[in-house]
Amino acid sequence: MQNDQSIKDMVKDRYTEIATQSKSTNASSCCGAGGCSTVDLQIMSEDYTSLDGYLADADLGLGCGIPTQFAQIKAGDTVVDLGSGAGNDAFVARSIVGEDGRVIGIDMTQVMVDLARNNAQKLNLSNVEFRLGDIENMPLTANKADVVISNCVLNLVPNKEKAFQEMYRVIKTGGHFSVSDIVIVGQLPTELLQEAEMYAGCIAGAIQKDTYLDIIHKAGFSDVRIMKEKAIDLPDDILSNYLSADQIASWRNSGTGIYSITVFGVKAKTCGCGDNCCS
Amino acid sequence: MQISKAHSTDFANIHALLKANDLPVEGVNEVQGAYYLLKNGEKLMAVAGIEGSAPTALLRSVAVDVQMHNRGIGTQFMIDILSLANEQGFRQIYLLTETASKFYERLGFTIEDRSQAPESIRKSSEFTSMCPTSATLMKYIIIK
Repeated sequence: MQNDQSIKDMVKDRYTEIATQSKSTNASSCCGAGGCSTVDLQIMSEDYTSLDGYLADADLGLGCGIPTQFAQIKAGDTVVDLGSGAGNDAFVARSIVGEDGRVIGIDMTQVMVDLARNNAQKLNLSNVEFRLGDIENMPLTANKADVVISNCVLNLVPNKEKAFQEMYRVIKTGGHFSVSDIVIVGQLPTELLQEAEMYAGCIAGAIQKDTYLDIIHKAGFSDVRIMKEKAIDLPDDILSNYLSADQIASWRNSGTGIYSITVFGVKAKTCGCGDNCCS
Repeated sequence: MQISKAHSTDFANIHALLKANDLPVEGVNEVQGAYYLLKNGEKLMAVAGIEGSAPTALLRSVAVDVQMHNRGIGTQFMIDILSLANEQGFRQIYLLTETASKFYERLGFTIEDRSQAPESIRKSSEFTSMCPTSATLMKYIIIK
């Protein structure tokens, strides 16, 4: 087992590389695994080009959903984007919060933070800022965000419990999150997972969907809902290396597979000790 | 945990801690003020800056690591910093805050009208440019 720090170092190195390569290279996967895949398909990444706030330079073709779509962001909100990369989702969020709102992107890769800051300058935005920091230890005060968004990043975080606990800390009471991510349902052959990692990226750190939702509940969130779920379509020629035709058919029918999901959850008002709401 | 004076190598960590707390970092350096750090081993837990010369100081950039809020660390740290300021001959401590006036009131600071601030405080970068005019001016008198 690799330890958490070496996983983080690996992720940093990989994204430093990704920051400097083209969107088309990255777009065939959600994490820009690229390199090994010749499949010229945008299998996970969504089309952002028609969204307000879109800046081509900020769209590295990463991601596995459009978290802002379900984030219920309002004008004036403070939005925190975890794993903000070149700023793509942060700028979309900025177009909704407007001049009176605020967007804070957090990324642990210095090159990405630099890239995002440059892009913010190009857009002449003063109320979007990017901070270098760790999702397991966010550089944010408690009760800061109306909305936390994240796009295909949490699967890369070694300690997902800590990541969601930190999200709970920084979200205001009554605030919520909308997160797009990759999860796994059912048991997949290890070799297939490895192949899928080459093909689509982002999968090595993905966990079971049930476990993922359980972590969210345990962090304290309520009203947890899956807003969108999409199976990552692995082509038959990849599957057939590991499964027979019958197995592929029954595998497809059983719901086993790799999914991109967008999850929503609320930090509800609680009536615990120290709160004034009971008095 | 120990209090020490900041060296030039500390300022990258100080800036990160201030940014995480939404405080400005402009003018936070070795030259413009004396910065005091609370450290647990090598880990920076809190920072406070003192600008100006005795007997009048501007207290600025007071922040605790965001993971360590609400544990009384800031209160104890401030008590120590005020006692340190006393030893150094400071008698009036001013500060500007947008968010923490209740915290400082508990420590004995009182709210002042901005027009009552002495010249040296009014000339500080915090006063002239960094903090909005809506920021509250507070004062603490040290009795020797």
